[in-house]
Amino acid sequence: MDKDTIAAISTPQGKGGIGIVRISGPKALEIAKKVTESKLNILSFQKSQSRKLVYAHLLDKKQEKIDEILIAIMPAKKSFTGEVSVELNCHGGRAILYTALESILEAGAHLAKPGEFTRRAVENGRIDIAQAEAINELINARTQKAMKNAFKLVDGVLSRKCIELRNEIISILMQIEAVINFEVYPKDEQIKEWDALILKSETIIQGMAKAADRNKYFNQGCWVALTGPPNAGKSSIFNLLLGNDRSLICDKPGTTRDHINESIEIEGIEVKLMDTAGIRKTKNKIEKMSVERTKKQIEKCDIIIYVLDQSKKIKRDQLKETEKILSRNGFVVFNKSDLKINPYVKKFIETKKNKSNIHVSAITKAGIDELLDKLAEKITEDSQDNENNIITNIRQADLLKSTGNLLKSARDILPNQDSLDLVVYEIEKAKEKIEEIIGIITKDEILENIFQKFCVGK
Amino acid sequence: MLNKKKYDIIVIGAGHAGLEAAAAAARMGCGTLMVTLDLSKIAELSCNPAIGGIGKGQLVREVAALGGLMGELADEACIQFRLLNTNRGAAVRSTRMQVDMQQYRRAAQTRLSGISHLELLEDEVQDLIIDQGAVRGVRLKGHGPMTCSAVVLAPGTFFHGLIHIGKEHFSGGRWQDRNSELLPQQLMARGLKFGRFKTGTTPRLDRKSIDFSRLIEQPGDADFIPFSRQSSEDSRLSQVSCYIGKTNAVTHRIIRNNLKRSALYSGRITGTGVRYCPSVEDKVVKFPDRESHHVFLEPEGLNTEWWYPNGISNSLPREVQETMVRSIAGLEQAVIVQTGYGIEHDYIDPTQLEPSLQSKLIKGLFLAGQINGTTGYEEAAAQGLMAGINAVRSIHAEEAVILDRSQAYIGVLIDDLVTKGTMEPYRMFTSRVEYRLVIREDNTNERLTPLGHSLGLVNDQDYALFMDEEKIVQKEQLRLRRTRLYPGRVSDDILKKLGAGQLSEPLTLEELLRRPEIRYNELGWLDPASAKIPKNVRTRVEINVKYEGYIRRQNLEIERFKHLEKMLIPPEFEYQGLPGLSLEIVEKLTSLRPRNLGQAGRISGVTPAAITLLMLYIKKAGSKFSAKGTN
Repeated sequence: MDKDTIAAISTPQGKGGIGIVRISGPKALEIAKKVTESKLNILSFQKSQSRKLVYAHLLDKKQEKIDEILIAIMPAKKSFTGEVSVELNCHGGRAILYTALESILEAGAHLAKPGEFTRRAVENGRIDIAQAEAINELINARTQKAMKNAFKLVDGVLSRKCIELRNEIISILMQIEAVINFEVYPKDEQIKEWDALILKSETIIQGMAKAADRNKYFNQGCWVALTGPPNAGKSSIFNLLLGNDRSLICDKPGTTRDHINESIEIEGIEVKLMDTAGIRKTKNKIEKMSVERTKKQIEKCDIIIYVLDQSKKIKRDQLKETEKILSRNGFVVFNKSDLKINPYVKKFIETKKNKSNIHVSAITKAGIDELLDKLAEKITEDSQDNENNIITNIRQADLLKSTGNLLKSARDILPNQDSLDLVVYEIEKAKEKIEEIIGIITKDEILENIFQKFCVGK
Repeated sequence: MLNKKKYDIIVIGAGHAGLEAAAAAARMGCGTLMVTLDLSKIAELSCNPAIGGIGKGQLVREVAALGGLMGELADEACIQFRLLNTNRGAAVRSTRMQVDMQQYRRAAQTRLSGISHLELLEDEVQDLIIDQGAVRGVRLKGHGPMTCSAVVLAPGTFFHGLIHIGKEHFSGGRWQDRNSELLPQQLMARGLKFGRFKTGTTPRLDRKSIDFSRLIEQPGDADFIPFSRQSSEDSRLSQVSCYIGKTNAVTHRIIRNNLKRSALYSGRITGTGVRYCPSVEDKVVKFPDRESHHVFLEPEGLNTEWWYPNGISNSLPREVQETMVRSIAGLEQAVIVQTGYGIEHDYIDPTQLEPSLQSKLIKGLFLAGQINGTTGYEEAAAQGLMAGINAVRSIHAEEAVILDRSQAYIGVLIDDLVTKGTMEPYRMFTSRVEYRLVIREDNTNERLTPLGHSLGLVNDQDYALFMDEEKIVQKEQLRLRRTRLYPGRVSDDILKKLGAGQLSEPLTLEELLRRPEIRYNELGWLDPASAKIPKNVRTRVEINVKYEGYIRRQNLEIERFKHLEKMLIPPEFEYQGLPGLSLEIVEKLTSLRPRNLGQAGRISGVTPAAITLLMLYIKKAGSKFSAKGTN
């Protein structure tokens, strides 16, 4: 028995102009015929009629017309799932769509499980795992950049790159295996050549993995923490950046007890702003706890904005904190530019000339644009959009990193050429990691390749 | 004359597969009859006079460790010993022995005649006697019907063997041997599926006509590491060299000009050939840019004038073979004493076999050797031994002995054959073995001798020797781990000589040996005790220490591999009608009937998703997941 036929409403819940019910599987045509009435002969449609919208009526269980619809038929070779599929474009009301689904299930389809259409596409070899992941990213993309990036992958950019790398790795393995299995003696130049070949793949892979580090903002967003001493105005700046009064503001230090998160979009990237409790030494048990928690949260952030009150003297621990933040990924914002600058702060700023400092006033809103620009600059500098940006998730990034490390180990052993068996082992593991990214299964390709390219055999 | 009309096991064929099967069956206590067309050709080396080679040496050591004969026979007939790949890595080192063909045959005959319960018979098996899908006996041309409980079929290239020399062709199982036609027809009629493969051999040359001064001498190693513990270095035959020559542009032109007259290239041979042991026609056509190919001249024995030019097997007409050979420097005057030829023969699709090598179609019928689509003496012997063992086990209604891919080269060989089949003659390579870092020549006994002993194939005396060696290895490893070197107390000169540099803190001998630049043999400078350790133990300890990290990694992989291997699929499991499995997969699983989920996953086209589904269905079916291994 072959797979069963599945169906589901493929458009989001709720009212809409149109809604689509999708059917996929060996009985898709038969079922579509049962639930519709049209001039199109669904069971023996012409090639020219495939993937075109055809006018039809939707029937309910009692064979009564309930909607005017358009149907599209996709033959197995041209459908997303790799199976015969039918899509019914109905009017988008909840009742209509559910009635349609009901008659489809009645006619013999099973309700699709979440992700089942994509799973079938993978199983039928229409797309590989990296592409399936990309489809998920595409659907869930919140920002334009993430969307564009995910689409590149759906299109198979990462898959092609991985296949390319895998072929390179196989060709190296083939050369070394030929030496191992056929008593061919490697020359010194050959060892150098192998080293260069491995290094080439290793460099590409490490480049991709590095790009992935920056690229993570596209998918996971960028966490930005507002931190600093109590009552420096972190929450006021937070609200200004958000454009609403999300955080409670009071002139009493320590008003914010727990961190608050809100998202804004800057340059196509989802920026998750975190307003945090002011950090200071305190005897208040609750505040002490919140300070501890805050510190932990800040650790996890990508960018830190350290807010200082420019009208007050910078304390020693604050100075230390400033240095720490600048050494990590962050910058300092001097708030309350409407007040007179403290001479100590002035001196501090002058000694740190090279660092561009932002002065804002939460009251007058002066400097907020500069702050946004600075933030955008920080984010984009960390997520340059280059052609290496083809990784969308941590799984892929991790696998790439291990691939690179395994190749590095192989090169470490190579000069000591009497352990070619170990060199091959490391490279083989690297190949497996690459394969895991796209989910292909190892075949006996190395021997195959040896036979094609080498004259072997005594 | 025969003593009886009834045996436990009848073995058809007395080549490298047949003799292992017969010897194993008889030594495990079964009344065994070995039938061959020509008793004088037992253990004939039909092609090159060598046993072992890369990937093959491992097989021979495994056969020897399990108690098979090939290792002892090769040791006894060895006229050149070489350990190949010595500087490519411990895991890929392989033994190759040049053997005296006559001595090899004689040794086999002597060994076989000394085995009780074993009888040899010259006759032709014309059919099997089958009742209710199970073997009940064989029908012999001369001796009529003969009853038995199991048959091991090892006919080599004899089924419909067809010899080609240029445009001539005639039937024959081997040069000057008739082939077998009735039995394959009967088996075909009973539903076994056959295919055609081809192989070939080179012309043999007369030693006196070879000018060795124009060839490069290739001596053997000074060391000798016999395949079998029973063999002693002292009783070795005298050792000789091989010689290396080269084809040239003239040789290639002669071949090219005569391609139409070659059986292979005129389309006369339709069977699939061996890619890694290609005919010289093949080499010239497929690699037109190569100016020259090696020709290795190997003696067929100490008391023969016949030499084997390895690398120029062909199916060209006689006269062309002569001109071609004579175009090679050193062979200008060469006299061909036996013409090279191509041979086509039947093989059965090995996916029709269980991993025990028993036919899925006919119970009690075991197949081994070239008939299963392999090439090579060593591949044949390995299968013969396992077929013999499992024939005995089946008679006693005991579970089959199946070596898995993490245990032995033999396991990989048989699993590949019965799971994937083969599109061309199958030869063993180290690269086929996923876990080759842990399955090496040096630890073969450790892996397999206990199994050989438990099966009754390794005798108690030999087993005691094995246990002694294991103890010494363990003791020595412990000693290395416990012996510390202290800075100041060790001479810096010695350390410098070893390339180790000064010691800054105490170091164990094991830690020192783990360094890539340190060799066990050099430890004697620092550690006089190590000098007393036997050579084979040194090798093993050194590899164990140096490869420890890799062995650990690979052992983890093996654990994961075993997980699926232990999930047995009930033999009658019904794949039809399981939702989620494609028609193609259902068909493949139904026809192959894999033994466990691991094997199922190795069938081409069976996806990991399908395996996950199967796992659920099998659990649901309430079938018992006995994790019983065979050893």
